[in-house]
Amino acid sequence: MSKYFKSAALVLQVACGVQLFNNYIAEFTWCFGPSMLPTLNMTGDIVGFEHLTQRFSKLGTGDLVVAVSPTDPSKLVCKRIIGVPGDKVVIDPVSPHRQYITVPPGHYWLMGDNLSNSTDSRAYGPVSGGLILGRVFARLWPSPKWINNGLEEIVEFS
Amino acid sequence: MQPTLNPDSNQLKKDVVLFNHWAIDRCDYNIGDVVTLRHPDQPEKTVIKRIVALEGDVVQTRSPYPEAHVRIPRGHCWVEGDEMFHSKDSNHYGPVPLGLVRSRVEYVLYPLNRFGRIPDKPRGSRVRYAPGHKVYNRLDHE
Repeated sequence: MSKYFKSAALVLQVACGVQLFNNYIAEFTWCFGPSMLPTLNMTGDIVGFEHLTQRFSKLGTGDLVVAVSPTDPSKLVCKRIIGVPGDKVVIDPVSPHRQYITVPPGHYWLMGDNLSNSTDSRAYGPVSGGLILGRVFARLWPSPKWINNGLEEIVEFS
Repeated sequence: MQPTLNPDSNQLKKDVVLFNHWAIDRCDYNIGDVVTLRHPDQPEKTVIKRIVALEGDVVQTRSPYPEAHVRIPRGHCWVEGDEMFHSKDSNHYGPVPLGLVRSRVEYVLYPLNRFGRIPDKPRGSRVRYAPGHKVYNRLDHE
């Protein structure tokens, strides 16, 4: 009988360890939809995201993040950070009448990579930093690869 | 949140309360709940407020909010502290997305003379509720 207790205790400890890892270090989630083409598939990817950058460092422009949707707290969204607090961003880059907004403190401006089919900050405004769960660092399936911040510095030609 | 939590009768002691995380995981938000939420402008700060209105309701705001009436957008709520004159709540930072709400405060555990459920607050007339919102006032049943 004590053999079963020991296995049960081990299973419980492993489960607690996995739960702590998921909450504080990194976890995986299923991400689908056309708003992040071509970076992520429309039919679904498993992406890994980590919680450490937001806690110990700062999220920067160009990072892919997973956040709780501001319009539905039971859903997650996966978007790219375009503006950090203090930046002046264009609300709709495609419209002929250009409007700017300064991102308020503690908030981020999120946009999907597929601008023509993405509900993002252009619809619901700046997203509070507390809604952001973590930064995406890898895609696990279908084709595993590290996902980086793909931005490059613009070299001024003078 | 005085006098519901940390009233002046506590003097220097702090209240100990019980948080219910499962209710918020189920997305069970009700008007009148005292909840903990991440501050919208400073995500490392946690505040405790009461949910006064949910999406679709129209709230008559207090200063310093710039508009007199606000219709709560989808997926957001309006939170206010019980101490109306000394509270930095939605009247300062506007409607709060429900994803920022972390847990529901259900019971006061210490000090023992106030042990029990967090009491509800009578509904004022400053909110016009959208049809279909369950506005359950626990005061009616005590």
